[in-house]
Amino acid sequence: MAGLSFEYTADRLKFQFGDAVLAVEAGNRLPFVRVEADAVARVARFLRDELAFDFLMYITAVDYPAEDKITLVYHYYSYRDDLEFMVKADVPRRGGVTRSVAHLYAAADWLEREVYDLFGVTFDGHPDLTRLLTPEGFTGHPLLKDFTSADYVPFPDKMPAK
Amino acid sequence: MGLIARLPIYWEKLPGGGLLTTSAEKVLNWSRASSVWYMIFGLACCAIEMMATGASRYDLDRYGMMFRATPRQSDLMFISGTITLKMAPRIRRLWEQMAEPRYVIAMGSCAVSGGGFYYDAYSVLKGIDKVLPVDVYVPGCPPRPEALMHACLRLQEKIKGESLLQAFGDFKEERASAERLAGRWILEK
Repeated sequence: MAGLSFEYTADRLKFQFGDAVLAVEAGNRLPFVRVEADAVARVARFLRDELAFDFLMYITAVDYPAEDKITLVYHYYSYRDDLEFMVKADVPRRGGVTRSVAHLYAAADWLEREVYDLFGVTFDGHPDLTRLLTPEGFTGHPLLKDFTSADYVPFPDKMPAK
Repeated sequence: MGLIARLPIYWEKLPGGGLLTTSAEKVLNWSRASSVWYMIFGLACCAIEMMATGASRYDLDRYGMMFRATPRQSDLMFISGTITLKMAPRIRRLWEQMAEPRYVIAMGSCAVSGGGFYYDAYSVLKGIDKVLPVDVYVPGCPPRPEALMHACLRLQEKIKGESLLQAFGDFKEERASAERLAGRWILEK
């Protein structure tokens, strides 16, 4: 009988990872656990193997320019316990790095590529960390709040005169 | 069409050849303008309006315009909607596959300039004329079928006003060889 409630899960994480679990917060829609950026993959493995969170629903990120940080957001779901569990981790705005969870959840492959593409966060250990949504040769990370509309033209040198 | 387009270069050198050229041009342009086949190809919400224009209520068939399911045999391309940066190279390739003379109608604000809603989006091209030459621009979001039909009529006017050499390229080498041939013909007489 594991992972029955959010509180139980959070307590197990705190017991297991100690100081790497920074805070347990109430949140707006869901309570969540904030962990160290380099503990993300360890926490994911623990959630999957020990607490039966067998489904990675989503990975996304939020840009906080004022606090100079990007918050990564992981939604895990347990089919056994019908429980959604949210984990957050902060990385610096420029050159943020965290561990990939793609070897644990196949769904993480494209989700991490999307976050890399749109926010510029690097996932260490990802099998193929390339841009997912924007075209090849695109520069910048569009969901950062200081990004301005791209002046990107697919073939600047091929515009013909008719 | 290649041979027909090259012929005037030769007969223009003959006495009275100019008259023949303008008459032939008139007939050919009339037939080209009356059978503009457009490529069946839609991009976004404007494509729905384009389909409505092509369907029986508005009926582009009246102008001799039929859709054709291959770029190789189309004369006209409607750019009907938002062009994303990833779609732009594909559209460019389709356009390159069309045989000349080929025409492009940019339909709606997005195709004209990037659009009212998407202009600042990171994924949207700011107007198809960044990658293709455009013949007629149709503003609107989306344009009414009447507006699109007006654009088609303007395109027909444009086609009817073209000279053959304008439509099919300038054929510099043929012109030079025609000069030489004409010179020899006059000398032989």
